[in-house]
Amino acid sequence: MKAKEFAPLVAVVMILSQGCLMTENEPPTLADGLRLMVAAMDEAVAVGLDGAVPYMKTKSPWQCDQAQKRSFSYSYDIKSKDPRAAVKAVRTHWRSRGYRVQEDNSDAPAHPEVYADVAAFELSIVGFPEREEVWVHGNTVCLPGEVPEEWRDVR
Amino acid sequence: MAYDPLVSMLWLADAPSMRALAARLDDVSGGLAPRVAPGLSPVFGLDQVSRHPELAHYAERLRSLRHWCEATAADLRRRASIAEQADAVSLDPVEPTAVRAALVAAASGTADAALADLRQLVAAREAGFDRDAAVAGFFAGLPPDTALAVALAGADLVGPLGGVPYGLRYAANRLLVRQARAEARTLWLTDRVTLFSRLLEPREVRTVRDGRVVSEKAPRQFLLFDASGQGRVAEVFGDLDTATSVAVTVPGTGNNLETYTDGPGANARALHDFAERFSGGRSATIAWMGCDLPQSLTQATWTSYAEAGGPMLRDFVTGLRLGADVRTTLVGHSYGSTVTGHAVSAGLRPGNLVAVASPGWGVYSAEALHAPGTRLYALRHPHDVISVAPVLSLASKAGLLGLLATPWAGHGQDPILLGGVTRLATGTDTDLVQLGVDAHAHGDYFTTTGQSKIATKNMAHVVAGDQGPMPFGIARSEPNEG
Repeated sequence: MKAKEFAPLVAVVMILSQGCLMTENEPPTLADGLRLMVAAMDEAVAVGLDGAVPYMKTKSPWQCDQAQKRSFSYSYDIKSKDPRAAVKAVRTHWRSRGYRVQEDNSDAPAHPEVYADVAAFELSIVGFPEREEVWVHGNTVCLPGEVPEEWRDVR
Repeated sequence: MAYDPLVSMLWLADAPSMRALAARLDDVSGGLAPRVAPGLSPVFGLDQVSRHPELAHYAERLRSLRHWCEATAADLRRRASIAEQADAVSLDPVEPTAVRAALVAAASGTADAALADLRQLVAAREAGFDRDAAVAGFFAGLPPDTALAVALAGADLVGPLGGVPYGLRYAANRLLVRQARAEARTLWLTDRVTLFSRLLEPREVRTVRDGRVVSEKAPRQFLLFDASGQGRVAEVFGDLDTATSVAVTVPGTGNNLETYTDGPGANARALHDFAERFSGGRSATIAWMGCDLPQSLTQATWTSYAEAGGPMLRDFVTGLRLGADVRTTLVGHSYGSTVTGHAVSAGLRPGNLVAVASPGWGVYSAEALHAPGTRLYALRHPHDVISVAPVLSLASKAGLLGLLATPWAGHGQDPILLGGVTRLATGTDTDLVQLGVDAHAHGDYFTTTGQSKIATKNMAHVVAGDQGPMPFGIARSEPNEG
């Protein structure tokens, strides 16, 4: 086989590999991931729960077992007159933002729930009609970088 | 009980005085029975007795005196290590105030008679349901302050003992952690001091009370603690006394006391956070690491760890004496699932058995577990490297591995392939590539990359029983506007 017969194949491989390289983005830092996640959660509350104020916000460590990386989770517990409607409204909003809805169980009989993710974090909303509550939860994936000041005492 | 002047004066003694007295008794004991250089004790040494037949009638008395010195010195050190912690806990804002008073009582010997009765009761019975019931009855018959003092005076016995009320075990095991930390400080083992200090840090735990989620810092709740070897620990999240659903999680290869806080402990707390909300505040989660686990991949192929650990897990859960109406779930990750399988094969009957990234439950069919009343679940990412393990087990069983096949390696069939097992969604159900040997994926149910929410919440639904978990492959991701 002559070298020139390889040329198209080499060209295709080069284009594909360059394409891959071009689409590979720098991973966000932990600070960026946390900032984006909290913003997404606040947005979900503003859109799906008419801006209701969470009566409790809690930060926790989230599981990560990779060197030089960390992850955290954040929870909002919010009172809502109609948790089922809130879950569906937030699901619609997340879809409109282009988030990947991993699981849409918004018609579940007991606790309607929707799970979504993007590159840097996972989000979920669960409704508790029996106690008129909604739980919005976010967790970053393992991300590199400094732990932001306001997350340093989270254990 | 006979009057013991030593006991009656000890309640006034501080820990340094008790340790000094113990050291003096060691000196006297050493003089009575010199081991290294018999000639160094010309006055009291037993060798002198043997050289002078006219003193032979003192020999037995000297031996008894030596034994008394040794036993008393050991007892003084035990009391001193308890007394030392009485001052330490007074500085701990989350430790109940009754604990300090009970520590003082335990150090002064107030609980000794009851503790002796308990030791006798335990020694006279085989481990199991009857002994657990007897132990529960024993503590039920004690006033609360005496029961707490007994638990602290005999922490090494009470900490892991089935049938003991949970609160007493928590207090006993916290004392054991404090004592281990104090000993590590004495020996300048700074890494161990840090490790034990982390185990004593209060954890922020969410509970649901009166229809609202509340977050509170509570003392750690250990049902086991042993710092020797790899270390043993079992920690409870939630209120085990009132829980109507209880999960016991068992981690996999590579875990030990040093990995506990950020590994198995953090994972169990994350699972509890979901289950607590789903159950409306009626769940408890126990992170159990009560047996040695393999520390390498080679060891992970052996069945010996699971064969030893399974019965230990069975006895631990039985010793909790959970009510018949409590929904129980065993969750095992990786090799931990093999331990849970062996626990069921050994007679434990949980309501639910969940295998996460499992190399196998140690069986080739669900029927071989002999647990028809147990609901079986399994989770595995399609590309998880663990999918190779059952293939090797089957090849070994079929004699295809030649000399590599051994009767003590291999853990049976992949649980997701067993009949009667419901495979649950893991968030990767619709991935284009459904095969692979991804090592990172093996931890993506609890740890590794942080992408574990679907798996965690599905396990939590099994634990809480509020609604069915999402089976694998039917997670709806298409628009479904309602």
